[in-house]
Amino acid sequence: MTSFRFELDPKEEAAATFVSETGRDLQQALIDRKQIRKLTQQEMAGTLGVGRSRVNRCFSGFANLSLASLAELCWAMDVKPHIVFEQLLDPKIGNHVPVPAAVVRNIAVGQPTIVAAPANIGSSAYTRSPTSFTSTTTVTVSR
Amino acid sequence: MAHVATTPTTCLIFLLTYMATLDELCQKGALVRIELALSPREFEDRVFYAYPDFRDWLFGPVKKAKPLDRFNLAPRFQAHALLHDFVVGKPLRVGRAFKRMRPHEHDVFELVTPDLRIFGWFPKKDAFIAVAGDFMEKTHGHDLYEGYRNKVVRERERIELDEPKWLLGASEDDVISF
Repeated sequence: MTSFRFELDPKEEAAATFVSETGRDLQQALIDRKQIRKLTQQEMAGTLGVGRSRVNRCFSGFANLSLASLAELCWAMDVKPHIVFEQLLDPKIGNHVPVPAAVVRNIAVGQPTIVAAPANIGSSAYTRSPTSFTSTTTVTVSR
Repeated sequence: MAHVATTPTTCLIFLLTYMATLDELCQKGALVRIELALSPREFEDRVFYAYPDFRDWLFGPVKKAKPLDRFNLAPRFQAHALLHDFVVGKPLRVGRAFKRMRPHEHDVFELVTPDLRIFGWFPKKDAFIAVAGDFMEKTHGHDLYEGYRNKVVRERERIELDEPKWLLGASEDDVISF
């Protein structure tokens, strides 16, 4: 069969994946937020002191936002972002191992978040955040 | 010994009715299957096929292009992210990441990123055939949507694919699993 592998440089892919996944989660956080109480991008722009088009660009799903900009957008949405660093290496052997437990990433606003990691990797198996408006993004760091 | 009576009409009917599956079309080179490297926890839940011209565009101009908005990832990363989300079965936002082109009766679909537009159709659920792609700026600026929609319809009529060639009358919710 004729197939083509769409590959990126691993370092670039890691960065691009994180940016695009964060962008998607940010979009979802806004959708979830709007279901609680109406909020327009115009209102957010006013809160942030910027133009509406700038806010709109931030929600493209592919905007390479700084952490500070991301935090400001979340603040304007009454959302608190969390970033979780997930170990990919088994501390016993130092190699990548498949992670059997599912990591819950896209959390509905207002629900408690649980990030599950296998007990044999990392120091803590579970991390529970306080019940609040929370959007969770998992950052995978390779060593 | 049995004899099978063959007439020119019988032969013609055989030739007209022999079509091919998607995999056979890939083997012939009429289509290519775009694959991505997946992590151990990811599975290929959907399949992305493409015409050779689309592949050449994806690995040519898209690879080198800069984003229209400098705050965005480069188009190649946008394409990779979109295809990755499609292949591993992630939800695609209807009206944002993908949409059925108007008029709906043609069953032509468009996959969307800030800088890219991909035009094709769904031969079956969770399988997409990309016929053409172009940059948003050019597609919008020169109003090329109708032309691309018509191209998809033409190619779909020509392709020697087993019937039914596409999901007739399917909405966005019908063509991919969520």
